[in-house]
Amino acid sequence: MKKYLISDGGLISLYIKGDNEAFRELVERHKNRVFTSIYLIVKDRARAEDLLQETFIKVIDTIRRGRYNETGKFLPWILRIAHNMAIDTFRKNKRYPVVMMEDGNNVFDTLEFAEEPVENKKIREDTVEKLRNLIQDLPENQRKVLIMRSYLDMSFKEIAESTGVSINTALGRMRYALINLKKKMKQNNIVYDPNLYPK
Amino acid sequence: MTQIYTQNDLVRYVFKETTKEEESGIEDELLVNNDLIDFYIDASEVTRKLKELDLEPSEKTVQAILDYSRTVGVHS
Repeated sequence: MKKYLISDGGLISLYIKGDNEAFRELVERHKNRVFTSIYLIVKDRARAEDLLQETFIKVIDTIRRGRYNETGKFLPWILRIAHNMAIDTFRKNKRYPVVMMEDGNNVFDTLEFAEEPVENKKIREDTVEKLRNLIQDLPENQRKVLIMRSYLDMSFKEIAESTGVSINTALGRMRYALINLKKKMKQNNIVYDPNLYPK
Repeated sequence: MTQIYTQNDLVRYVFKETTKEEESGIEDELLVNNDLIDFYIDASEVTRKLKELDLEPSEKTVQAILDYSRTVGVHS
């Protein structure tokens, strides 16, 4: 059976039985999502790469010890691990490091995208960069809720419990995050163009 | 009693955290409430855009993960 048709839980079961390709499929399936969520918190590519590795190592070790909960969902679980690691790192390093390469370019410029027309690729890269900056510029409470809901797949109830506020407050912060982002996107001419994102 | 839906309810709707009954009520409300429909359009556009922020780690990092998954004695 084709691996991409198998559920996350199914892939883990196969991996436990000795199928390394099943774990490869799991990594390929979720690596971008986990990496993006980490990166938005730590704001440093090299650190995000390290934390992605640590996250998956923790996943593998947990499975190895027979402690993976097969009734749970894999993605929310790994995102929670990633989030906790990223937050711990962020707290230890309260500066916002900008990692520069020797030629003066930001390492964020080295992100690779799938093969696509050069013009679309450039527009997409510019848009990603702008959007990333807009998210970083949000007030902390709004940014936190936005990242937790949009990238860590936490429900508003979980976000409220995690941040110690009411669900209404969490919803309100998301509402303002969306309003503020929309305003800034308009000012920065970031519009949704389905032709650039063929998913 | 008619339920009144707020922008906070709309946020839940955009992120698919409403019940079927709430969905139906909100959709009816969107047909007649200009403030809500304006917010809904903006919120939908932003959340679509957020989904496109899809960063990719380096091949080196991915390979390190896969190497670890093979070398650790998971298999029972």
